[in-house]
Amino acid sequence: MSAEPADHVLPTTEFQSEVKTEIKDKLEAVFDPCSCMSEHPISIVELGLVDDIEWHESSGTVTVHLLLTSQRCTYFLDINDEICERVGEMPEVSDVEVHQVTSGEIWTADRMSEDERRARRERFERRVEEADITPYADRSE
Amino acid sequence: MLENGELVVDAVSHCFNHADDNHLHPHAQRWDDETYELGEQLMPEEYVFPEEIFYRNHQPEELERLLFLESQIDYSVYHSLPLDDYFKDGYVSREKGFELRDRNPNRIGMIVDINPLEDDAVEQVEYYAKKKDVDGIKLYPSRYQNGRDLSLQLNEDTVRPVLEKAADMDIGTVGIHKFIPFATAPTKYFRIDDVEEAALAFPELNFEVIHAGFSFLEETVFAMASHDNVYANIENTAHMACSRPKKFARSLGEMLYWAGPERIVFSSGATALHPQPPIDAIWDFEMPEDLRAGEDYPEVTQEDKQKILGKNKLRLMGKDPEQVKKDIKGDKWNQKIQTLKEQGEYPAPPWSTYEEPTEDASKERVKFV
Repeated sequence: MSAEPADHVLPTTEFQSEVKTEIKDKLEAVFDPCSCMSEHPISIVELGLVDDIEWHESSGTVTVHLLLTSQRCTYFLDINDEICERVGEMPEVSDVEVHQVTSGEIWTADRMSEDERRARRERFERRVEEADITPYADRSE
Repeated sequence: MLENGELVVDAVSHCFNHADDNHLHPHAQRWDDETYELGEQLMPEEYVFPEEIFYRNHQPEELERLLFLESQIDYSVYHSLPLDDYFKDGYVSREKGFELRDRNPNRIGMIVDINPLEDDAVEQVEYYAKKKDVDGIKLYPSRYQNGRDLSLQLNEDTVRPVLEKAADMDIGTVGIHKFIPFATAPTKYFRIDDVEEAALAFPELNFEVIHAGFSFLEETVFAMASHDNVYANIENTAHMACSRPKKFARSLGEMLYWAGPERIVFSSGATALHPQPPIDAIWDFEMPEDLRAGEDYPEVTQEDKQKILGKNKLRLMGKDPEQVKKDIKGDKWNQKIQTLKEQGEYPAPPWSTYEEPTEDASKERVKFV
């Protein structure tokens, strides 16, 4: 079964514009602050937080649209600052704006990159095996 | 009550106070607005609050009508909230909960909030267990005090004496808010690791992890599969059954696969959300075939749904379903329900039992029925 193409930006997303591709590369270096508190830091692109990248060649302006895991995320300002700093370094870019998506759409784990989801699942399965846990579904059989 | 005569038991209801004059902190308005927006995101349009009804100090008379006339809920457990750093009355006051229980002793249970940072927190647990016969205590994983976010994990020295007293008093249930971060508190406080340690240390207590399935799903099912006294309380997650069915299916599927149908309890979250849509959605829910085949998630049987929607919570409270049915048979709600049924209007339409608010609705109680 093939996965449906994502409607948000992932590490595998391809752009015709070289500038947008470079912006995506810059965003892959921005890490989700919460994940940095865990043993497994993850970039905002891998986590599926980047909803869209807008690039206006004539004005040199970039708008990065973010769908956060929680509308109440208080790290938005930190993420905003780091995006502006990294993307703002590009010579083609004159201005960077970060916009929080508040359309009512909710972030779910499905938005993570497939590699990250697989890695997360493998960590979970390893932990289950180490703890010698039998799933209820198997116990009841 | 379900059409087949089985009870619907709601493991969390609240009387929120969203009135402006209840705010203590700049983030209070944000709490109110985001709670409203949560309803917009999670419920069918016709169930979304009219704003003039939402932004007010909700009262026990309104909550009881919402639960017992506008939904199929027969019994509900009120949770007071300890957010008195943000709201003057804590957001969901204890007083309104006890008033609600006094008005409906056969239909309302009470879980009281405890702030472990208060000097007399342990004495409060004893008082509420002995004198007020509560069904459990409610804890938050973090407090905002004197300009700082303070961690209150269940495995910390500050909280342990509260749990010890709860175990001594045979208090039964500890409800712990998790998974939905709030205000400025770091997300790490909303993980579930501390619950595992507490569950192991206090096997006589049952830990209802509130908002289970909303996030940190793998960690949640790991805790449930490892400890028989960890329960998923699906407040807010239940509403995803109607608005985010795929996410709900995955959450429910993981819980059923790893921990089974006895460990999940339904919650309405009223008055923040309307209680009826998730009841309908869970009753009609079928596990998608791709998730059954691809993830080995089990089929959700009618018996599973009855457990989630009522039987599990009654078992946790030590209540006999047949006795509860006898206790509520013929009471005033039962009579009103019969009348509504005869009129073909049960459950009553969303928010129809709320009267139009007065100009100063935040302070004045409305009269209905």
